[in-house]
Amino acid sequence: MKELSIRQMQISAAKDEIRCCNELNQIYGLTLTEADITELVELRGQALKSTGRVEFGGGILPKLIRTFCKSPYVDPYNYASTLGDLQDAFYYFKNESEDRFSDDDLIEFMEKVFNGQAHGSTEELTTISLEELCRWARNDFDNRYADEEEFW
Amino acid sequence: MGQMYLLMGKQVQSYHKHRHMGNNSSVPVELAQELMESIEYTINQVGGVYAHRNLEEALRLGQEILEDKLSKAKSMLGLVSGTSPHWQTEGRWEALRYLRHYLEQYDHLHLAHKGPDDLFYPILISPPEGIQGIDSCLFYLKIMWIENQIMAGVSEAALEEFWDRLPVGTLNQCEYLLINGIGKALLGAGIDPLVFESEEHMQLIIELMRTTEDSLNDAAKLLCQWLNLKDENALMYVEAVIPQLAMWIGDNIHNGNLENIFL
Repeated sequence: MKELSIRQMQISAAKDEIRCCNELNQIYGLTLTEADITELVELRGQALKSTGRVEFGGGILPKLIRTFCKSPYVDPYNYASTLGDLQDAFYYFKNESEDRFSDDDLIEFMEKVFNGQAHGSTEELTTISLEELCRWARNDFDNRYADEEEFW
Repeated sequence: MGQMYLLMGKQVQSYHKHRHMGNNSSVPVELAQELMESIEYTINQVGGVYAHRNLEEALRLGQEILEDKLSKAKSMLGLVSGTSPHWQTEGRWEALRYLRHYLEQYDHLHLAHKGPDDLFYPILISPPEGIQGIDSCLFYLKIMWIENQIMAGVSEAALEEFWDRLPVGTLNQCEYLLINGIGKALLGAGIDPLVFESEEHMQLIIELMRTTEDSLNDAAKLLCQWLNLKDENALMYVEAVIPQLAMWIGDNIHNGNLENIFL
């Protein structure tokens, strides 16, 4: 059998991992079509190229899916496009932080800001600086507490 | 190709774990290239990628060899530092300090191909082309060990007197030492003292007028006897100074000013 090229292997591995997530996310009513999966994997390639990064294995999408599928701001209509934007933001912040944050830490920061100050807007998330991202993520608890006080 | 891809994936994870950076699925292209070069260098220690079916196993075997080399380099550094003369230039001390730091930091698992690239210590023999990683460090240590052997052949008092005459900013004193030694051998004057007196400079000018490259080679051989050098590599190192010396003599003999060459 002809050996797969590295690019083909990457694409195949990435698609397989996203399909696995798809099965889990059906409980949230979120599903990615094959076309969505193909597009997201292509976007991943573009994001990596534009940020000058190389990725091994299935990529960051499965982790983003597992984290953001629980967000109140994600629905079946914006699911695929939100993931695409989050993926772009992830690689952007990864570069900005010069790899000082692990994947998990960075995703946690992004989740806090996306569900907090950004109110589910990927545009808001992608236009802030890394500094702001860190500050907002750290202030997350205080801000919620302040909101609650105002509310009561 | 597939094996190399999987190996790279594992190396990326291992690299981040090693640096306590948590899990990272991606790396900048520049780092990926470094990691790839390190894998190639490590596998080249055991015959290269085409000599192995299982690249992961080849990498492990290569890493074992590098561990041995690292251990050897540390021993050699101890030996070189321990046998270095008291009278040595700051540049030489600095080179030894740099090599110690390099060996302490050397990551033979992920960036094995990285050599002591920032080391600024001029030597008479150029490192072999393409030499990398710990091999490059071992090469420098071997040269410095040879230099120690050369300097050990000169009495402490003669070395001290010679050291005082070295031009300010000299990094490698051994080159000047060998040049003086060859000059002394041309006069058949012995190397204690190693420095030249004014009348010796005059004698040397007369001697150099009829000197050929062959007589320089003979003088180098005589110097090796005086220094009690038996190691073939040490002899090669002494002879390596001749082309440079011949050029300097050619440039300066006509104006009779040899004091900057023979100290």
